[in-house]
Formats: sequence, structure tokens, C-alpha cells
Amino acid sequence: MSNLQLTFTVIIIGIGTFLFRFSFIYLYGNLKLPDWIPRAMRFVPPAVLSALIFPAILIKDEVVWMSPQNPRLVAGIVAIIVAWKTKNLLLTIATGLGIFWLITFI
Amino acid sequence: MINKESATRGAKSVTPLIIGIIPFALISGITAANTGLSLGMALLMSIGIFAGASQLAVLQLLSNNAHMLVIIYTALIINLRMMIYSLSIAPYLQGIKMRWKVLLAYSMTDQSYAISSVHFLNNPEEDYKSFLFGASLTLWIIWQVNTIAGYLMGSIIPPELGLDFGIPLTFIAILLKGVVGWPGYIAIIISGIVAVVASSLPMNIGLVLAAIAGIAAGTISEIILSNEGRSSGRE
Repeated sequence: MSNLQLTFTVIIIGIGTFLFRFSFIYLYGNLKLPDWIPRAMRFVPPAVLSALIFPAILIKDEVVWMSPQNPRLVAGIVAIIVAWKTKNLLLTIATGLGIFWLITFI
Repeated sequence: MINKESATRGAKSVTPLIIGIIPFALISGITAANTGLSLGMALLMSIGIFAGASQLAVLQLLSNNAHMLVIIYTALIINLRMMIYSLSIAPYLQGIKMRWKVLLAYSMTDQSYAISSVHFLNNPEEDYKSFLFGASLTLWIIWQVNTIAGYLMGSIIPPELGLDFGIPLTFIAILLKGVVGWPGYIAIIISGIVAVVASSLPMNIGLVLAAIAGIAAGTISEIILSNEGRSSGRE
């Protein structure tokens, strides 16, 4: 891909992404939404985050890797337990990365 | 005008996330350098798109020599979730100037959205605009500085270190901090299962399907649970 094409690609993605972010902030008020939408909205963050997390810890090279040998899975489960018990972001990430490196490099 | 206390609270609220974002930004800068992008192009991406997962997808597809349209489509699908953030945060950002709406929309990320939406629910007295501005600006600066740092480090940090694993860990921490109650847990489980099962579908459709399934499962189970509570007099 030429530099010009790449510049064009990046600008299109940038504009599209901005329009997604801006869409309802701009339209709100001029748009009467049915009651169930705000109710459903509260489940958006857990659903999207979960859809990013599960494949990231379970899938390696397009295959599900459900095994104690999978460092991401083990570290992910430990991180889930730490997050659950402590609600501490820093501790969760530090423990998760620590376990991940321990299993990967030892 | 910006309420400094609210903006400071916003900035402070995202500081625990920085440790998860730094490796993400570093990886993004390092990969940009390894893919042969100029520093200018790397900055155009990190400032112009400012959405890490989609930036990493662009870099990966570039190194696979993917077609321009595939790159655009994939990045936009990944970022489609921003529309839902926009809808969810919109009620808090009314009655402010258009240029603030533009700025706050541009700078909104998974992290600043997640932190702010939970904070706003629990703190209706907050100055929403200032809080979100403080949170987003902090993350924006951290992101740009570390993207440049990553670019300059180039190939010194090997990708084998797996620092990108900090991303799902960040999401785990955000998720379990914010979600309380069975409907939320059901949304998490259903969405996670669908995401894994549908992960081999082309064009990142699995992510979209999983999100829709999770939202539906959460909403439906909430309705069922609240009806049960009412009929047995526990409401």
C-alpha cells in the first residue's frame, strides 16, 4: 500500500470512528427512544468487555485452548479472582501479568 | 467552563488504569515502527483514530498486505461499540456547547467511558463534562506519549514478552469493579461464550454478535428476575 493510500485509510477510519462516538451525543433529544433502550444500555459495557476478554484468554491461533498450560487462561482466571475479591485495578493487572510471565518464561 | 475539582476527580479515577494502557500504547508504537510506518504516520493513527484495538488491527492487517477496504471495514466494526457508548453517555452531556460535545466525543475511549458511566450512576451531583474531560485528557496524553515512546523503542522490546496481555487484564478489572447483580453476570457469561464460539467468523462479526447476545441476555434476565421478585412479594 502506498503512503497516500495509507493516509487515506487512516483518515477514513478516524472520521468513521469519530462519527460513531459523536452520533448519539449529537442526536440525543431530537430522538425519542423507547424505554427498553436505556435499560438495555446498562448491559453494553459488561457485554462488550466480556466479548473482548474471553477470546483474548481462551483462543490462541484461532483455536480454543482450554488447558492449565495456557498461560493467558490461568493468569486470566487468577486476575478474575483478584478483581472479584479486591476490586483493585492495579493489583489485578500486576497479578495477572506476573502469573502470565511466570508460566510463560519459567 | 471546566470545574477543576471534577476534572481532577476524573483524572484521578483513571490513574489505576494507566498501567494497563502504557503497555498497550507501547505495543502500538513498537508495532507501527516494526511495520515500517513513519513516525508521522504512527502519530496520524494514534491521534486521528485514538482507539487502540482498531489501531493494532490496522497494523496487523497492513503487515498481511490486506486490501484497503478490509482494513477500513475491520477497524470500523471494532469501533462500532463507540456508538453504544455515545448513546449511553449522551444524557449526561446535554446542555453543553457543541465544541465540548465534539471534543468529549472524539476523546472518549473504552476506559474513560467505563469509569465515567459507573461514576455518573453513583454520583448524580458530579459535573459530568469536567469529569469526563479530566478522565479522557489524562488517557489521551498517556496514550500519545507512550505511543511515541514505543515507536522510538522500536524493536528493542520483543513482542514475545506479551505485554499486550495487559489489555484483557485491564478489561477484567474494569468489568468486575463495575458489574453487580445477576443480570450483569448473565450478560458477561453469555457474551463471553458467544464471542469464543463465534470467534472464527470472518470480519470480526463474532464481537458484534456476542455484544448483542450479552445485552439481550442481561435485559431479559433482569425483566424475569424483577417479575419473580414482585410475584413472590420480595420487591
